[in-house]
Amino acid sequence: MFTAPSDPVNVRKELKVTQLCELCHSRKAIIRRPKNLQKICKLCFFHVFETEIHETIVSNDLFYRGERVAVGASGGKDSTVLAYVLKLLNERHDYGIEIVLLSIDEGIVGYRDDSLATVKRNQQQYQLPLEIFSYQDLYDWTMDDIVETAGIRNSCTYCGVLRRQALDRGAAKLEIKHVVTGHNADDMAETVLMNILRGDVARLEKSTSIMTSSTGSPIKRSKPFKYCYQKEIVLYAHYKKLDYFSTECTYAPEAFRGTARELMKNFEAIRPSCIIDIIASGESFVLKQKMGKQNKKKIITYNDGNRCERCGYLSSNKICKACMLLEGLEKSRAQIKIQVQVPGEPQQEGPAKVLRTLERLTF
Amino acid sequence: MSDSHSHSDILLCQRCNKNHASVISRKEKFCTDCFRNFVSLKQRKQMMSDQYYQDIFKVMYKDKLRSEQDAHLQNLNSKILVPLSFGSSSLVMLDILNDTLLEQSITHRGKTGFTVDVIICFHDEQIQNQIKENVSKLINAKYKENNQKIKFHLVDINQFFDNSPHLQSLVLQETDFLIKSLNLKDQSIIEKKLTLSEILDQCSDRSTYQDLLAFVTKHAIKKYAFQHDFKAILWGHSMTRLADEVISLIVKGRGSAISSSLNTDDFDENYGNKFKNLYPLKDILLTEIDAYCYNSGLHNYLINYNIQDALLVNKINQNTDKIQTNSLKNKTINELARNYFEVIEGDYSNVISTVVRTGDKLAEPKSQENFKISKCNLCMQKIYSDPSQWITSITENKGHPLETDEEKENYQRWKNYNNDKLKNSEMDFFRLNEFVKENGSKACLCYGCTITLNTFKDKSVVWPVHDDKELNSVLEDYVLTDHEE
Repeated sequence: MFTAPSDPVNVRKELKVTQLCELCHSRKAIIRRPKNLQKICKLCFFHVFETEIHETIVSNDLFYRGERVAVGASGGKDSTVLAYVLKLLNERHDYGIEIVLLSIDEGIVGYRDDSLATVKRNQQQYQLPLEIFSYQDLYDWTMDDIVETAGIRNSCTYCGVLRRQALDRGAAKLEIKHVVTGHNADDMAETVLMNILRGDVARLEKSTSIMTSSTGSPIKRSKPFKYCYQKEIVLYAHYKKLDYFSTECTYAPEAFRGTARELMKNFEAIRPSCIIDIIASGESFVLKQKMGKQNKKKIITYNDGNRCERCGYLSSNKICKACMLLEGLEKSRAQIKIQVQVPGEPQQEGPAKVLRTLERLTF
Repeated sequence: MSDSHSHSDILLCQRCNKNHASVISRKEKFCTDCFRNFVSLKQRKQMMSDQYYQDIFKVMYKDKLRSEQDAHLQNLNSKILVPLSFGSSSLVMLDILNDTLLEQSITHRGKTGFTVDVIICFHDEQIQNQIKENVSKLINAKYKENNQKIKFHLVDINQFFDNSPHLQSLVLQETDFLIKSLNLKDQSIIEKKLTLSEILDQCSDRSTYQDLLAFVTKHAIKKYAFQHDFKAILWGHSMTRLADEVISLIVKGRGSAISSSLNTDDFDENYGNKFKNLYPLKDILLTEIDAYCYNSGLHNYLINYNIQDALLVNKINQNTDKIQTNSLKNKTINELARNYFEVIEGDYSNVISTVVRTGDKLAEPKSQENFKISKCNLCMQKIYSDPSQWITSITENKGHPLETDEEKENYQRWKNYNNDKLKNSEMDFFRLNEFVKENGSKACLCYGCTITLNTFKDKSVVWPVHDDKELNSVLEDYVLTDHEE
C-alpha cells in the first residue's frame, strides 16, 4: 500500500521540552490556562479543574454530610459539568450528599424543550433523580406567552425573576434546602461590572459571595464554579465528552448587559486573567457608611424575613417582584389575547420555535 | 468665535438666547461664551467643595479668625500644583484657573487667593522641545498677565531610578505567587538595567507599560508636591477619565484602590500627609472638555491627543477618516474602557456619571482577618489581604501523577534541561532571580502588582525602595519661561 513519504503516523516524535506540561513536565501541554497562563496537559487539566472545585467546596463549607442538594440543571454546559463534577467529587471525597437534578421549564418552545431532553439524558447517564417544574404550572404563564405579551426587550427580567422563585419553590417542594447553580467566574465578573455600570449599590458588596441565604428563607444557594473560567468548563465538557446543549437562549440578553458582556470579552482578549482579577476587586468592595442629611430622611428599614402578601414568597416589599410582574402581565393578557388557549392542548409555536426553524432552513 | 452659517435654521443658545449655539451638550444648546461659563462654573464648584479648598482658592482678608498679615500669608502660601500633560483636560483646567486668577486680580485689586505651579513630566527626549515650544506659545498668548502667578516646571521622570538611594529586586515565585525581594546595595550588579525605558521594555503588553509609566509620572508629581509644600494637586481628570479609571482599576484587580484614588477629602498618606488631591473637572464629560478646548483655541497646544468634535455644532472635519491606530489586541485596558464609554455615551448617557458616583461610594476595604495592613512595594497602595494566599487558595499547582515510562522519561529530560540552563546561564538576571528567590525576604505586593509582575518577561523587576530617603531625595526641575525657544 502506498504511504506518503511524509506520513507522520508511525514516526514517534520526541516532544520538545518546551512543549511539556508545566505541571507534570511529562506530557504534552494542550491547554493554556487563562487564570495564570500555565500550559498544561489534559490529565493535569482534569486534575486541577476538579481539585480546585473541591477546594472551593471544602474551604467554604458548602455542604454538610447528609445534606440533600438540588443542582439547578438547564442542560447547558455549566450545569451539566456541575452535575457531573459534583457526583464525581461526592464519590471521590465522600461528601455524603444526596444530589437531585432540578430543572425549570420556562416554556420556550424550540429551546427549553430541547435542552430539557438533554437534562433527561443526563439523568440517565449520571443516575441522578430529576424533577422538572414549569412556569406554566407555577405561574400559569410560559415565557413564549410572556414575550408575546410584553415584548422581547424585557424577556430576561421576567425570566430571571420567575426562575429564581421557581428554583426556590421547586426545592421547597422537594424539601431540599440547598440549590447549587452553575454560575461561573465569567458570570460573576460580569455581574460585578454590571453593578458598577448600573450603580447598583445595594448589590455591590454581595455580588461576589459564593453562598447567598436570607434569614427568612430556608433555601440557600451556592456557586461552586465561582472561580472556574467558562472556557475551562467548556474544555472540560469537551474533553470528557459530556452531553450538553450548547445553544444560547433564543431571546437575546438585555441590551445593556450585552454591552457589558462585550466589554468584558475585549478585556479578556488582552488580559485573560482579568476575570479572576475582577472577582478579586469585587471581593474587596465595601460601601461608605451613610451619613449626612439626605440619607437620614430615607432610612430603608429592610426586613430580611418579609413575605409577599400574595404568594408568601420572600420579598423586601409587600408584594414580591414576581407577583408584580405577573400582575402587569395579566392586565395586558386580557386585552391582547385573541385566541383562547385550551388547557391540555399542545402548546402553540412560540417565536423561539419559529426562529429555530428559520435557522435550520437551507437553500 | 465666528462660525460660518450657511444654514437657514441657525441654532440659538438656550442660555442667553442671543448668540448662535456652537455646542450641544446634555440636550441643551450653548453659545461659546455660555458654554465656557457652564464648564468653568462646574470646575469652580469643585474648587469650593469644602473648607480646605475654599481656604486655598478664596482671596483672604482680615477677619475674626485671622489678622491682616495672616490673611496675606495664607494667600501667598496657597500654592497648588497642576500636572499638565498637554491633553485637552489639563489645558482646559489650566485655562479656567487662569481665568479665575484674572478675575480675582481685577475684583480684588491685584490680589489673588492662590498661585499655580504647572508641572510637566516627560521621559522622552524628543518631546521635550515640543513641550518647551508650546509652553512658550501658551505663556505669550494666554498667560502673560498672570506671569507671576503661573509658573511652569519641567521634570524628567528618568530620575525615577537615578534619584533612588536604594533599589530592590522583586521576584515572583510562580509556584506559590509569593514575592521575594532583595535590596541591591551594590548597584553595579544591575548597572545596565537602571534606566526607566529598560524597565518599561520588560513589559509584555502595552497595558502594563502604560500602567508603570503612569505610576512613575504620578509618583514624580506627588513627590514634587511633597518637596515644595503644595496645598493640593489639581488633576485634570474628566468625568469620563475617572469612569475609565474606576473600571480599569476593577479589571486590573485593583478594586481596593478605588476609594483612595478618588479621595479628595483626606491628605495623601503616602506623601507625608502634606497635600490633598482634587479633581476639579470631575463633573464634566471629556466630550464637553474637548468642545471647550476647541472653542477656546486651546487645541493648538495639544500634544499627542486626538480631539473629538462630538458636541460641536460645526464639526472640525479635519480628518474625518479617523486613523485606527490600534487593533483591539494592542489596546490598553484603559483605552478599552474609554472606548466603551465613548460608544455608550450616545445610548446610555448616564453610565459615565453613574460609574464615578458609584466609585465615590466605595470605602476603604476591610482587612482580612489576622492580616496586618501593609503597603505595596511597587505601587505604594495599601494591601488589605494576602494576594498570594488568595491566588493559591483558588489555584491547584500540582499535576496528575506520572504514569507511563515515556512520561517518566520526559520528566527526566525536563529536569536535565533545567539544570543545564541554570549552569550554562550567562544571563545575570536569571541567576539574580534564582539568588533572590533563595536569599530574598518575603515582600508585600498588592494583588494588581502581583498580576502585573506575572506578565513580565522574567517575572521580576528592579524597583526603588519607597522610603523617606527616596521621598526626600531632591527631584530636579527646570523652570520654563516665555523666552524658551
